[in-house]
Amino acid sequence: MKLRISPALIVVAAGLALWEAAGLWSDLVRNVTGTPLTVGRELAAILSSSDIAFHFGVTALELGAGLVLAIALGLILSLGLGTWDYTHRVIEPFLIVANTVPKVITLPAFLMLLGTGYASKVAFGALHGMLPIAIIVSNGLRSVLANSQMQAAITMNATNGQLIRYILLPAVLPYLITALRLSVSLTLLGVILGEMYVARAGLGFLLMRWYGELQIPKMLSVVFLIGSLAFVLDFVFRRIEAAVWRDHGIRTDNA
Amino acid sequence: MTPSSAADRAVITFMNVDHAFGDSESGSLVPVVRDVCLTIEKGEFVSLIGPSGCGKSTLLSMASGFLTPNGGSVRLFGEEPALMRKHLGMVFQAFSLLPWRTVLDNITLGLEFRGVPKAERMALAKDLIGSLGLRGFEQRFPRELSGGMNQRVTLARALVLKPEILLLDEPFGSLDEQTRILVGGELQKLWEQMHPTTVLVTHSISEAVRLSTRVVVLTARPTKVKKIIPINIEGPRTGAAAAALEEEIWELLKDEATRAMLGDAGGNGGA
Amino acid sequence: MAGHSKPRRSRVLLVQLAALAALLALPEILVRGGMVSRFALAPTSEIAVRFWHLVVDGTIIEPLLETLLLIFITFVIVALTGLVIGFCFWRSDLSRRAFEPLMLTFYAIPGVIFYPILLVILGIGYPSIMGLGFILGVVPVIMGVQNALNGVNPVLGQTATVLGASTVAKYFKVILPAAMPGIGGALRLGFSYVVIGIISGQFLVSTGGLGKLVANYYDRFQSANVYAAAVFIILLAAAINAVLERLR
Repeated sequence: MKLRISPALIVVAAGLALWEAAGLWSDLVRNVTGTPLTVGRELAAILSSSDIAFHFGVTALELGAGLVLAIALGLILSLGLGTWDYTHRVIEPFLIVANTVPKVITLPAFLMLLGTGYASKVAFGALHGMLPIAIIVSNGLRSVLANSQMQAAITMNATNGQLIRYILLPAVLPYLITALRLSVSLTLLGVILGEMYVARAGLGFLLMRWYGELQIPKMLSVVFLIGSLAFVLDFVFRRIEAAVWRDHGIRTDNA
Repeated sequence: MTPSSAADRAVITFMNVDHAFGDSESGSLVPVVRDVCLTIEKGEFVSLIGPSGCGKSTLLSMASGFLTPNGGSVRLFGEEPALMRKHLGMVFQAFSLLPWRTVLDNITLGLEFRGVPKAERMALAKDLIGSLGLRGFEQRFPRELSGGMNQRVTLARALVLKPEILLLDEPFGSLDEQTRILVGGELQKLWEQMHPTTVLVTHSISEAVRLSTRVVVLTARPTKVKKIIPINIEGPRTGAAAAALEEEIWELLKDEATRAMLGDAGGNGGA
Repeated sequence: MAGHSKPRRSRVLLVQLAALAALLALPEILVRGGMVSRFALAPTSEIAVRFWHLVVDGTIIEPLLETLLLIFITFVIVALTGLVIGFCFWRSDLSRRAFEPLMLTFYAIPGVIFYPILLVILGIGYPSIMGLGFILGVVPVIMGVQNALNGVNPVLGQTATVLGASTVAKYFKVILPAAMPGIGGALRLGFSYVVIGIISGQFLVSTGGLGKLVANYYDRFQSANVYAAAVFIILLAAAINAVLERLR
């Protein structure tokens, strides 16, 4: 009889079991970090307190606002990158630099210019989140503008408005969804990082506060919460992405 | 009845067409087409055949207005091709259907662009769907269909607009031999009904002889017209007469194909 | 579509330089014009002076060397581990199925949140910073190596076997070289993540390094120094990545 359990779940379960067992011989685990059970208890306690809703809400709001800003900026950039070869060659090096450089060192600039409150986290998050949109959507635009569907529609004498509405937008949609998925996780990264460094509220703030107060099981609970938030968002977007790609079937020229 | 002059009958004219592809930055220009003169008359079915890399597709791009020749001119009904798109139907080799639309919605796309109301669109599509063996597939999506079926849909999409000029750029290139012959036959029947002036770019000599009224043999790069061979066979193009024509065309092409193969060491095939 | 001439490289460069010049002029104008306070921004001239001092006075040397050393060591570990594990996952379907969902999940989660955990277990100092760099860098390398190996045409391996190659020879002479471009890309990506991890760790909590340098200046409200140090790090990272691209 073959068990149809995902091997990944087995790995996770084994890991948790090992951790729990470690509590028996390791002082560090027993007294400082806590075992899965201890952390679980703290997590339950936290979730039932009203405090967490506030901090969760702060992070969620910063994420939402950051995302809106990231999408707006990203789309503007992608139009410049995607449509004209000229602007593409001008802007592209800047984007590559922005992508590979540790953006965390610009965080003080955001804090100094926008203050230590929400605005700096939103902006810092948007900085992270706009890059995948700019890059992926512009790649999508470039491939769509050059492909056979576009040419075929032009031979059928479509107006520019028709080309955009009937060909361009539906064809770019899959790229947009993929870019959104990455943008969400990157914006979250920026927001959390900002909260971890200097903040008065939010999940990242809680994380560092409990680290500083040496309340490690509580700290681990927050790590779990943030991870869960990221995971759920990613999962939802992956599902949407899969559906959109499927509906679009063959997206590229396929002889 | 006064006989119409050749000029009246001319639909597509290539006059001393020159073209080169190049990188203005690196300074290297590759001449693709040189001094091509060709007149295609109303109702003809002309095949353009030549070795890989010669400018067959380039000539077709010019006829559809996507490319302006560096030298000489291309005219459709005496006008610039880009202005004459409403008389044009075109079929590409590459997949060009919209994957997110059903077969029926793909076929009626051009009609939608023209603002034809839905009921009329459906009615116009109906006959072509029958003639091309697509009945029953109207609600399917392109990804569910084979390559051959997809090309039938692409043909239907072009023909439903009742174009006066039909341009086909190696439309059956990605199909296996048998499907190729079948769909080619369906195309021929439709051509006999609708009689658009047709230009077919192809690699296949037998296809050219089977379908066309005239075969234009092109040289290797830089492409010129090597010879024009009229196909005057009545009835189905099988048998000795057709074979003789195929032999003649092959003799002409052999030379050019070898030249293309040897001279094309760094170039890309299939211009 | 054919027929367009490529934009001249010189014109592109000109526009980029003009944009940079505008960007550089902005702080100067905003601060000297009184529109932005000196606590938030510094005039470009002042930033340039501070940058100069950073380099010439040698303030930057120790953090720079420390950071480079950490990056280098962590990257070597990431590269070796990533290559080996990536290869094993490619060979063993079971291990791949067991760990791949975890790694994909990991991509979505902000890796920095594990830094405090590392701090608790390993304390403040090099191990926890290197740990963060490792965690961020190893996953893209593993995934990238797998993709690269998957992308190798199976026909190549079969041809090698038919020509009589031993298993070892097949891997080292045919499959790995064929996968090299993809593996190179994965290593480059991993490298940039290692850099990001180490500098982020130094920035948040640490005893030294370039990240700490910027954080210190921020704590002391020395805005010009903050920008100068940030610019230095950006130039350094960009230069390293450019060199890595050239090695392709």
